[in-house]
Amino acid sequence: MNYSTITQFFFLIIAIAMVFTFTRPTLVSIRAIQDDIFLYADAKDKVSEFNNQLSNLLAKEQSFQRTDLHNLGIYLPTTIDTLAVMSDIEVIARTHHLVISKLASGEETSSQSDVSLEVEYVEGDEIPVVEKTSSTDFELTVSGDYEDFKAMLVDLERNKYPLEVIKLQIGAVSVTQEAVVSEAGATESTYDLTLRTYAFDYAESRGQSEVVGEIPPAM
Amino acid sequence: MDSSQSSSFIPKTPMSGTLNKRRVRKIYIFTYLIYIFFISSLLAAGGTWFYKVSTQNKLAAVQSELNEERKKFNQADLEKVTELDSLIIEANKILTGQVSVVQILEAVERVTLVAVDMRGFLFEKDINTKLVLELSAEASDFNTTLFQRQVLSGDAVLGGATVTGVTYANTAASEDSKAKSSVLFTVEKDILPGTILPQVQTVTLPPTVSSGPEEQTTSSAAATESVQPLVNDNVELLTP
Repeated sequence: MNYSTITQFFFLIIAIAMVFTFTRPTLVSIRAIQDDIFLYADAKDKVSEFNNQLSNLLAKEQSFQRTDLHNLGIYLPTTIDTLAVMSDIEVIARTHHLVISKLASGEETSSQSDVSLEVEYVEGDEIPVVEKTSSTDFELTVSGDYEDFKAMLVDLERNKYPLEVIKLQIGAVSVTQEAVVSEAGATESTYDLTLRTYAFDYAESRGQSEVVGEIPPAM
Repeated sequence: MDSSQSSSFIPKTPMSGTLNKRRVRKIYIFTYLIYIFFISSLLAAGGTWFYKVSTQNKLAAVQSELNEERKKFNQADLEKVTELDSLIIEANKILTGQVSVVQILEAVERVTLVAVDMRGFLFEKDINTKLVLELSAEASDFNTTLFQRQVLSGDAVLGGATVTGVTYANTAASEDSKAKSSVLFTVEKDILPGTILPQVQTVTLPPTVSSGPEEQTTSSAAATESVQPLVNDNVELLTP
């Protein structure tokens, strides 16, 4: 075995070692980096798209008139001011010459909204936001002229915040001969209503209760 | 001739001894293959190293771009938009789920025959958010009741109502008064929320009141004003 053969053998060993100890692992790591690049690029595209969408929505939000947003806040406030609502009902009834014989507020009932948006946060342990809609019922008994009562109902339907009529009873419900006789001589009708108003608190579940709307004063 | 040549002081060598033999070069394919393999492995190692550096730089660039995009993201903006969106959707749900009692009363007025007396009216939203309308009425005879049912079925609001609980009563004739018969019946109808929405009357304000033509809802009470157009527009804009 001469010198040349030894050199050739040495070169062969070096080449094989280089392929297996450097080139091949480097190619494997390049493949892993390329996978990472794909993932990061995909994530970047998604974040970019999300940011664009968010900026578009913000632009739309900015395009709304402040008065409209204020009215929306009044229509669906964060809390229900029972006293103010009752005052408004009293004003509306009095405006139409109706006599209130009963006006009482019921318990506030709440329900979880089904319109909550699922937001996946990139980092941090944010508490998922769950919107909460609450409603309060008001029992109202008024007496007066039928046309005046209808005018009051029209105003209730046009109110800045919802005063939904969920129950209305006029006269006897189950018609019996006795009831017909007793109602026949009545000149002024009595109307039993149950009105419902709503509140929507987006921030409540996050412990950041804030008033975005308010019940307007009666007058 | 030979003497002149031998007299030269330059030593002469025989011609035969000065002729070079042509060298035969041996080609070893294995040697060349080894050299090619060695050089190729060197080039491959260098190439992969440069390519790795390039991909690492590319990864760093993409990571940097991602961080830039993440920095642009504002949590407060997202909350602001989602809050408004949820508020609009919820408001729209409440608004479109309402039923106009005024329109129902007007429909009852419209369809009630002169010979029929409406004695009772009950409108109630049950726990399943279904609305039940129950009207108690009195007619003088069965023909009137039948005609009333026919009129009811043709009305846009009260169409589909059923006549139930029919009771025929006849007061006994006395010496002073004649015998009086009456048919008592109940009209029942289930109303789906949102099918009879309150009508919002709109007017265009004169230029003296507003800078331009602006629609505003009419209201007789101080606390009343509708926001229906706002809510509907916003839902169209914000809901994907």
